[in-house]
Amino acid sequence: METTLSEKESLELISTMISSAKNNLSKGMGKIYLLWGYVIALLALVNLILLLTLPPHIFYYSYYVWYATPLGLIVYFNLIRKIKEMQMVRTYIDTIVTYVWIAFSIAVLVLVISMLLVSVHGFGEPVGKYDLLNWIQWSFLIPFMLILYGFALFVSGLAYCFRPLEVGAIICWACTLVISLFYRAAAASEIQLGCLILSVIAGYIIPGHMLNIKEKSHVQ
Amino acid sequence: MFSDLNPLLHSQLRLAVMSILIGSDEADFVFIREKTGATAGNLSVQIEKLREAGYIKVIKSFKGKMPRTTCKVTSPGIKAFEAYVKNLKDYIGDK
Repeated sequence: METTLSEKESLELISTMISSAKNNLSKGMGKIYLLWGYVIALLALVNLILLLTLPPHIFYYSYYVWYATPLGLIVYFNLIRKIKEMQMVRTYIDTIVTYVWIAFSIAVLVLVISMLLVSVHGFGEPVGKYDLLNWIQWSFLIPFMLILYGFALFVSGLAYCFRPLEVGAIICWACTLVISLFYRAAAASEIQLGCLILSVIAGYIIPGHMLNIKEKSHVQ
Repeated sequence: MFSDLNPLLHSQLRLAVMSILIGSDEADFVFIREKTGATAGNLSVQIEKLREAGYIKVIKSFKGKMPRTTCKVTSPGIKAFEAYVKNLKDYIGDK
């Protein structure tokens, strides 16, 4: 059964159909933000508590909590699989934003690997000779991550026209400046972790909950 | 001098399908059916005509144990759609 249209009707139909598929946030996207938000906020909080409570000579053990991060990946891949199954339409915006987050993940991985490489003792160097040089670069990890994180959030927010993500990005960048401002403070590490917690609350947890609410009203 | 409108696209349902696919990277058969309000049978026939013309790609997969059909517009499809819209505008006089 075929129905032909007038020229004007054709243009109206094109316009209606194109707008029906655009700006659709995929179902379950909020859960991804919430997963990483709560995982990072929880690990940063445990790290902070341990940092404040452990004796000074073993304080660095508090950072070992980050070895638990890959556990989040298991839940993440499971969630992604479910989202793909539920996804009825994928817009070009979805595709581009996915690429932005893939690029963010690779950039963070390269950053962590680079810092690990710098930590490794040089061949023939006596262990402990450059103790300070072996860990000092880690103090730049959180600010560098927040800059990258803010970038990915800002692009996602603009692409989806979703203001909470843009606000989250600005808070990430503001936190980077705060960290830089207190870089030489006695409690610099605690400030870094506090800023990280604040950033994930603003960039992941709040937008995640808002996306869940929005999803219930009109996404596909 | 006006060019003829592409008869394959100048039909309500096929044009609706192409418009949805132009606006998205790929779309599920169920999504297209909901948006166009067409019956599954009629939609299948029209999608097959677009596929035969090389305007769209039809991807068959599984969603759990259920079969799933996803459609994606091709480069010739985009060109045909752009030409159709241009001719349409010429007809209306919106140059």
